[in-house]
Amino acid sequence: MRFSRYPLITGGPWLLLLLTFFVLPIAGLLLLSLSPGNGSAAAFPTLDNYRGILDLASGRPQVLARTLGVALGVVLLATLIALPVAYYLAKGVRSTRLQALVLMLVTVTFLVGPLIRTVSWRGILGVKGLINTALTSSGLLDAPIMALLYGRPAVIAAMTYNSFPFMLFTLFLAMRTIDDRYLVAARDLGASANATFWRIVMPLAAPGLCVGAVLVFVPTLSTVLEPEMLGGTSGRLTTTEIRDQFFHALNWPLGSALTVLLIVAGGLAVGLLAALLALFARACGRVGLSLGSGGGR
Amino acid sequence: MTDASDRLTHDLFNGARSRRDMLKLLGIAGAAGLLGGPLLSGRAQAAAKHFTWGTNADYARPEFLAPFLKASGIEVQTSLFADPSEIITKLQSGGAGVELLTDGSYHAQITYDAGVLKPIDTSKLKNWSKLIPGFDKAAGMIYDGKTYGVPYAWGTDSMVYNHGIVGQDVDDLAILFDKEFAGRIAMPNGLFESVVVAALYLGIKTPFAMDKDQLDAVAEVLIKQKPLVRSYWNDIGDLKNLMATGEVAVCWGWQPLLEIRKYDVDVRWTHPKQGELAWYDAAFLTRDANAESEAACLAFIDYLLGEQYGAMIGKDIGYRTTSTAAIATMDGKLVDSLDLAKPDAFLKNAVWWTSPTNPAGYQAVWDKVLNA
Repeated sequence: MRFSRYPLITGGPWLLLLLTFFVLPIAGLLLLSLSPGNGSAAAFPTLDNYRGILDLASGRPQVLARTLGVALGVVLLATLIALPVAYYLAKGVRSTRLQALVLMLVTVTFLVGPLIRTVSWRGILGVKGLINTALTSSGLLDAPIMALLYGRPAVIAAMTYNSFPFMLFTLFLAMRTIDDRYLVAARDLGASANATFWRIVMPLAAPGLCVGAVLVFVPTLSTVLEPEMLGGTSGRLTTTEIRDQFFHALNWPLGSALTVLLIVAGGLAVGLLAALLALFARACGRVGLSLGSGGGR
Repeated sequence: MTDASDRLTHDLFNGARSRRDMLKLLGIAGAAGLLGGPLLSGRAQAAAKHFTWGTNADYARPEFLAPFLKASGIEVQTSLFADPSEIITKLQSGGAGVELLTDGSYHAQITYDAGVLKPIDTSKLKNWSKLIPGFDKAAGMIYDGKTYGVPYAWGTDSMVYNHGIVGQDVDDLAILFDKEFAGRIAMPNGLFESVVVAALYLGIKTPFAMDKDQLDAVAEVLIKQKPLVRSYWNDIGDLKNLMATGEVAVCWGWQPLLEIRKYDVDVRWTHPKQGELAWYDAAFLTRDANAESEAACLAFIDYLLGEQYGAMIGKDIGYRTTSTAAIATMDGKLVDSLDLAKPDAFLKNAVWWTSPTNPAGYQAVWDKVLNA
């Protein structure tokens, strides 16, 4: 059997890039996480940082669980908001120009940058924000609702707002590529609009849903802006602690260990999310789902 | 240095000097300063044409830096932070490009231990003699017999409240832990400041050298306080926003917060009976500075100690200068309003804020509170 050098030549630069910018930093992070942290008398290598993080009394496992929970909640909300919009846009709007215009309008708001988009929520949810002003000036409430801002609901709202276009675009593209004849055939065979959506559209759009979920989940898991700007005292997530350990406490080993654990936990969560979505699609259409071959077509 | 200046150093950081002593020293130092030469030395001509100053936004307002650029031709580029640790992390990893750093009494030891500083040859500073005596030997500036930092501003951090919302005068830290103000309280996130404030509230006499039991007590009181707190603020702009919009009624804050009075927000500074935190900020040379940028940095430090800068930060952001030359140029009303003529009275209840003896222990407490 003749050995071909072609794959090595074409893939070599990419492998080198991967090694330089992914494998080596991760290896460095792992080694650093095994170094003694601030105030520790242990010698390298030590698992002290991991023990400290996994100690329930430190509150960090709970914060990690909260971080994953918030990210999953954002995926769920983004899906609920994006799904009807994407479906209507893909199958209800016939004009390609109108579709492009709507998607462009969504995109335009994202030209202002995440900081402005996040801070603007203060103007909406604050004591003197739009919602509270409307409620108090109309006489519906005597005093503003303090809980709107500086809490987890505000964080989740802003994170959803900041990430839902990823879900919208992927779902829209997935739904747009579904052949309209499938939908017509389903209706001809007596399926209701509901049944057509759940048993035809959803299973076929499942790969888009899965990609959108990952695109929403991963950045949400690693953001510090929303919890810091809007989270108040309940805004502590693992990402904000990683930032604090690196930039405030100067405890790089502990920050590295937290990062490694977040990568592992996030990876597991992504796998779980993909499996759940596959099950969901299967349950919807009973047609099976093959993410690798175009979604059960 | 002489015994007299040693005594003053001790007095300065123990709040033990009298008004007469202070005025006498200001006068002597001012006279010395007048003989100290022009604002900028010829050295600036050999200096780099720009350097980067890691500092907070208030110190680096364009109007504060413009006179220096005009006089020296040296441009001060800035790398702004809310907590000096942010810059230290970058300096440690290399390539931060920050040659001059603002840090203070509260953090200098940690920065020195991080190994990112270079000593400063104070004999090259024309305005060194214009420092209020005592600041030249302030704790946290000198390591292994070498001077690393030049103090240029000082003041206190204390409790600030919105009189319009609170409705009464306040001088008790208990209000920061009072259920009556649940959801209307803000505490600082950085520099272990909330940990130290809780220690003051608990009456702990050594808030920067707490043992494990004291740290546990502080953690407990802060965790109990947490449901009452609206937000742990990260920088002074954040806090100004919280107070100006009425989100928060009472907080532990910094002097520039009083600027929001111009928006008709009736915020008031307190001198709590349990104490407040006195600090000074200093300019430190970092290891990123080369010979040329070091010369530019020294020229700028001279400017910080000169007549203009100290007067401007006093007038615009309410910070007190360490420069006797600047005080001499200030309006009498401003000098009075900043208590620069009688700092001993102003500092009556203040404790000088130093780096904690056990930073890891303090960080562990604060992590515990944030994670609770």
